[in-house]
Formats: sequence, structure tokens, C-alpha cells
Amino acid sequence: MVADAQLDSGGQQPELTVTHPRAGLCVIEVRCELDILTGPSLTQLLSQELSGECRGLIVDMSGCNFLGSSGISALLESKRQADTTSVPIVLAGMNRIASRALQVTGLESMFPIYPSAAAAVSALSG
Amino acid sequence: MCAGEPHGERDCVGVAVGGHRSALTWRGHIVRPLRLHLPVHPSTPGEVRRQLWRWLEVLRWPREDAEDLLLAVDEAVSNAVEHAYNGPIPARTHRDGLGVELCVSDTTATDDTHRVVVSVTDHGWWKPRAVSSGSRGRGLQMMRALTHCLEVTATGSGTRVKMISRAVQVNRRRAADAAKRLGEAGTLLLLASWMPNYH
Repeated sequence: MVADAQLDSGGQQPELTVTHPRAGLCVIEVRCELDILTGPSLTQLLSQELSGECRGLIVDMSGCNFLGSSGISALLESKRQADTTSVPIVLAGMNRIASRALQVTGLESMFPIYPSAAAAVSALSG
Repeated sequence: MCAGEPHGERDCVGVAVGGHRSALTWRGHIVRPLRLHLPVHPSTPGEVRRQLWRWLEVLRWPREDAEDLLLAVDEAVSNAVEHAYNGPIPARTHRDGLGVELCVSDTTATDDTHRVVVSVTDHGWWKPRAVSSGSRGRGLQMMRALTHCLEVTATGSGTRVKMISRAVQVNRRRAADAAKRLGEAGTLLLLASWMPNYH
């Protein structure tokens, strides 16, 4: 899936990587701009992770320097999916432009936001 | 709505070239508006963002205002790419692509205040109510929240989104620096036209 995203990037380098620092804990690191080009790949990846053994999902946004409405839709879709199984989904390392996108759409309060992925891992491990 | 607001080029402080108003003066220097003609492709919003960012950097637009404009313009272009050409795309329409145009406008009584006037034109057709929900509805909400005004107009051959940025205070030192930069490298950068390769 990540490979597909890279193939479809049209020169941009979407990088979505998944790590599992603890059993049941998924960290998706976003190292690309999230727009109509890359949003669908994130949607697909989040859905795949939530369909597995994931009991807590962290989206590390520290490497994401743009968040458009397609990216927001991907996050909201995963939030809906996660809510059905009570899996917490949190955001980490949001930069100013990504926070601004959530703020102007009134969605800031939908996701717990941590300053870093490490802080989010600690919080979800407790 | 943008009633009573500047309406693009004719409101830019312009210089007529060959009968076309194709440049504007900004702090005494001639700067062309940023004009892009782009293919209908999911990679197009990213290309617009990169070009817009460079253009605003040359003008030394304040960072937070520039980021807000980046988000708003991305939504307008994404909207056009995703919705303007729903269904089979006639060959002619595809060739026409999207038009994106930006210029700086002196709009207010104070000499130190500027706005960016943005126009995103497509040759398809869509209506705000058709995209009032889901991702694109959110896009319209973002565009309204991030700009001074937003206007969506159905034209004879497509749809035009016009946005005017919030006013930006340009302090004299910043302006002098920008004018110097524009005089050296900026003008060349802004004059460079980017034409996509159509397939």
C-alpha cells in the first residue's frame, strides 16, 4: 500500500510508515503532504491497521507539512471506524499549518493531540 | 461574497502590455501576477502550492497569512480537480485544464495594506450545493474561514472561484527588502511561466 502511494506520487514522495512500539499499539508516521494525491493512501492504511490487532492508533504528523480537507477526511473516516471498536486514535507532533486546518474546520477537539509520538506512546501505554 | 471588493487584475496596479494588463507594480517594481495553467490531475494542487509558496516568499508575505492562503487555494484547486470534471472528460475540456491566477492588490485606504486576489477557473461545472457535504463541503468551509471573502461563480464555460486574502500590513522595511529582492531575482522568478505537458 505504501509502495502504491509512492508509485502514484507523481514526483512527490508520500511516505506512510507503520511501526508497532508495543503489542496492539500502532504508530503511523506521515512524512508527506496530505492532500487529494496522498489522502486516499492514508485512508487505506488507517483502515488496514484498524482492521488488525490495533488497540490504540497514533498518527505521527511531525513530518507532515500540509493538511488539506482530503487528509482531514482520511483522519475522520478512521476515527469513525475506530470509534465502533473503542480504539483510541490520537494525533502527535502537529505543526502550525496542520493545526490550523483542524482549527478552521472546527475539528480540533475530535482528536487528542500530543506534542510528540513518544508522548502519545507513553499516554496510550499507561 | 466579494461584492464591492477588488475584482482581480483590473484592480491590481497594472501596466498595460500589448493591450493586456499583464503586470502590476508593487512598491515601485513591476511584478507579474502568478498565472498557472495546469492539467486536471491529483498532483496539480501540490504544484500550485509550491508555486504559490515561492511567489509569496518573494513578496515576503507574513508566514501565517501565507499558510492560510496556501490552505485556501489548495481547497479551490482540489475542488476543481475532483468535481469540475465528474464523469467522462471531453478531450477539449481536458486540454483546457485549470487556470490559477494570483495578484497583489492595493485595496485599502492605507498605503501599507495589501491583499492577494486569487482566481481559480475551471472549464467544468459544479455548484457549491453539490459539494456541501463531506470533504469538499469542508473545503468550502475552510476557504471561507481562511480568506476575507469567497465567491463561486458559474461562468458560461465553467466555474470560477474568487478569493481575496485578509489584509496584510506591509511594513516599510519589509517592503523595501522585498522590492530589492524583486528587482534582482524575484522578477525573473515571477516572470517564468510554467506550462504543463499535456498528454
